[in-house]
Amino acid sequence: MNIVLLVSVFIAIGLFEGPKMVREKLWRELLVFGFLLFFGFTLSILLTLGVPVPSPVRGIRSLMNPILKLLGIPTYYS
Amino acid sequence: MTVLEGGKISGRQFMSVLVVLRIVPLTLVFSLINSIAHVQDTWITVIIGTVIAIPIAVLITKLSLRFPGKTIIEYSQSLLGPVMGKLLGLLILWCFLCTSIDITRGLGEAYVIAIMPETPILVFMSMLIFISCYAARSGLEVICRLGEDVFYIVVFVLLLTYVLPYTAMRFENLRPILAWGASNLVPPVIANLGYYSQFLIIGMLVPYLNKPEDATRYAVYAVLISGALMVLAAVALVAVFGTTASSWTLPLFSLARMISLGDFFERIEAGVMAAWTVSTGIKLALFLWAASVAVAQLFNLKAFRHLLYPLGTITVAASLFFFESMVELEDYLAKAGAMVSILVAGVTLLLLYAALGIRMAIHRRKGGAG
Repeated sequence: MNIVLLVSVFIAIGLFEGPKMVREKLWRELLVFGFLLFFGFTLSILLTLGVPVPSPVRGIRSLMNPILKLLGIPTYYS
Repeated sequence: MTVLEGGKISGRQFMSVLVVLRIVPLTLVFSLINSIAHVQDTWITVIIGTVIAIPIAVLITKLSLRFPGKTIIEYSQSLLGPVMGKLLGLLILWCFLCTSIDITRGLGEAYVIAIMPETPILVFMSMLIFISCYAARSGLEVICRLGEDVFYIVVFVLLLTYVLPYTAMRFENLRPILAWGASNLVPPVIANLGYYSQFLIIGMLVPYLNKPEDATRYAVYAVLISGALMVLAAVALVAVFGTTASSWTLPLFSLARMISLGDFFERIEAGVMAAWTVSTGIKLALFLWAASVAVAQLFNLKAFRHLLYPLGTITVAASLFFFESMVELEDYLAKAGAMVSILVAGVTLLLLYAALGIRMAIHRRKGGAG
């Protein structure tokens, strides 16, 4: 059910924006639009199916924690 | 190059959206007070952060004024060359998207924590994203006009929230001052500067000002107004809650709950909720607009409006898996996230000013030889 809803939302966005771009022959724009929409769709499907997606926040934390420790700021997450 | 965005904004609108984008974290989580060990010094850290933020805002604005009609994405390419410029542009785009993701999750969590704990967070986030994308599709002019109105509403609500709990205020709670040394001041200053680093968006706004020469003045006003609002918030919160002020998840919301005048003037927290909803909506619309314009300029596209809904879907999905809980989000915003924002803003300014300096030196030498 959730997946059907999700797919219909993405199809709606595609149908809302796509035809206009085809009519105006904005092929480059259509390519970027399609890529971004596909990226969003992949992320959403993975989350709906319960696949654990690694969060980039963890990477940012492990990069920044040494600097924060140097400044004397306590860090609780790693 | 084709003009992507045809809108023009006034100086006051520019200032209003800048204040609104700094005030959003104040109305929601107020990381400064959550990251300090001894809350009595919060107002001092706000002043320090604001004073340091003024040169940052001025540097970004002055740089943008050197390249009339160009956004930061465009002039970083003309200063650093296509490859380095595009890489820096991608970094800035990542920052814009991260800010959108943080505030989407922040608003969703605030709603779930404060009023509707049974409703899935996705409902609030998707509604907010839909409205913000719709606003951003209408262009910068619409966002900024709306931003000006929202600015007055938010300032009014905030001032009301600061003044009305006066019966519960104990100003002796603010003592002792600076009793724990400078180490107590560092974490909130970092958190404050992290938020002020979001002023990198000035680089996207200056080309669309109707009088660009006013940009520096209004950017400084924006820093000062938002700083003043935060100092007042810090004083009011500590005066009312004392040392427990740092333990509230939504401090300003809790402060508004304290207001009760003559048994009939109550439930002011609805006003704070309205303030955080509209201000977050404006900020999100602005950052999504900036992200879509940045994508369009990075890939040399002729239009940006159709990119907003796809970017919105990515923002919603990412805000779901970036953070596990509100506690983690708050910790990230005050520490690692703030540090990343400061570093990105610092590296951007350093690289662009260095490139500008080198280019000017070469130009002068050539001029001298000729």
